[in-house]
Amino acid sequence: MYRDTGMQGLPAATTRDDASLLALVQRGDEQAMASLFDRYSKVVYSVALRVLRDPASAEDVLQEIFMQVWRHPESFIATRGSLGGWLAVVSRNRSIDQLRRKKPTDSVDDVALASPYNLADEAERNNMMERARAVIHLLPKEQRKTLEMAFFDGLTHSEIAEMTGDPLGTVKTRIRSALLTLRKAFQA
Amino acid sequence: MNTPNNASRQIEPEDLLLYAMQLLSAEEAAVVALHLQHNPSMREELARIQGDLATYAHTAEMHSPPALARTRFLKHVARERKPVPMLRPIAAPLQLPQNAQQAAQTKPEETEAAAPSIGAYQRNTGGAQLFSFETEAAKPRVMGRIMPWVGWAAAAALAVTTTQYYRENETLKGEVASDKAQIDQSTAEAASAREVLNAMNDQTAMKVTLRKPFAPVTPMGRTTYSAEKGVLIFTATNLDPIDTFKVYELWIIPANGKDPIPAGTFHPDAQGFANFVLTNLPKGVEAKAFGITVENEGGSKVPTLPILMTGA
Repeated sequence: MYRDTGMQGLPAATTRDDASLLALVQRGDEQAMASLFDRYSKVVYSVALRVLRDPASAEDVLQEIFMQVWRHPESFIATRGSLGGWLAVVSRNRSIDQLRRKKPTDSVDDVALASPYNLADEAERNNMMERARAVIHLLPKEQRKTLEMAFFDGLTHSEIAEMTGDPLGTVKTRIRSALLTLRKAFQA
Repeated sequence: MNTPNNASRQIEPEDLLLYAMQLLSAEEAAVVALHLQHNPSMREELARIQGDLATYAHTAEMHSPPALARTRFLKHVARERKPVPMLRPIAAPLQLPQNAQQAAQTKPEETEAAAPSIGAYQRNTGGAQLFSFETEAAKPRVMGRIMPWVGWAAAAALAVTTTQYYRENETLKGEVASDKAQIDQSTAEAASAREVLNAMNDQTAMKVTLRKPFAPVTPMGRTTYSAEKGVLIFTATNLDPIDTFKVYELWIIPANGKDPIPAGTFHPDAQGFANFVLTNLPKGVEAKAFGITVENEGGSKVPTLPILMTGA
């Protein structure tokens, strides 16, 4: 089913790093695209499912995002950092757009992202997930809930303030404090 | 948040974060975008925030996508195939069946004059061409010499295409078999789940509540509730008989202080036993407590006091 792109004698697609796979995708290598899908589809689908709470809609987002990578691999350039991180953020953004029944905006995917993790490595990815969950679990409940409402439910700070009865400034501070705690925990 | 009128002011870090999460209004986002254009350090901070958000996104509970999602995706990819560049070196002169002698005597300058773009391109690419098409300038002379080979080339292309179709056919057969296995497994799991539900709702099934000897018999209800999935499982024992045209009704008391949510009506059987499963409750409603009231047949939208049983 996959076409030979003449790149013989190279390591199997599954063991290559993201940049090599993207280069192959740019040349139309379907096997390389399948490898990227295998590597990151779980994260993309899980984030979309968390936001949309509907498996069919989450799969739509999954298909849409990976087709975007297939059609425009060049749109993900090295300065954007980690492909896995980018896909996770874009999955969230697309899902929120779908939740609001809003057309995806171009700026959504124009995400430059600084991430120190090699998310292509499954062990490192799993380790990062566990650490992040542990940090989030230890946050004060209000901070945790506010960040969750903003990120996964796509509620604006005004909407959150209205729902919780907290002042706008408090909502903003809680979101920022929560993310700073997460950042510091990984810098330590 | 600053307005466009004072766009020259510093953007607050909290607003940059909201911008990253796309939670600002279009007007507010435009102001931040304007600042970002002229502020490299702010762009760096935005990249760090996106990195933090990527980390946070990974805290979502992980679920594998449906097995067929991969098949669907790859079919979609196959439908949108790209032109495949060929990385074959073509530094060696082209071997043609006719006028080979003449071709060998042709001066390099003449060859390049006939096909300037190919020669120039080969120099630029170290003798390797990236795509297998030729320039228009080279066509007339080359076409005359290669025409006799077109038939053979067509036959070879047909053979290659046939082989490719055969391989794709074999691959598709494998995928169909894989899909069938998945469907069989899903069907078996669904049948098993249906059996469990049937057993729970079977009036003739034996229902026994175990307790210590001589312990007092008291009505008891138990809920298992997943707010995230909107699913509730309820069982009750030793409930008092209820008047005709009356039902027991279960209520979810939301943690956010909103009105109680009706979560199913039920009649206990002759032994005071009742159970049911609800899978269509609103998702994401955290519960502070649960309660049971008696309502008229058909249930109520608001609980009628007193609350007979409660639990938190």
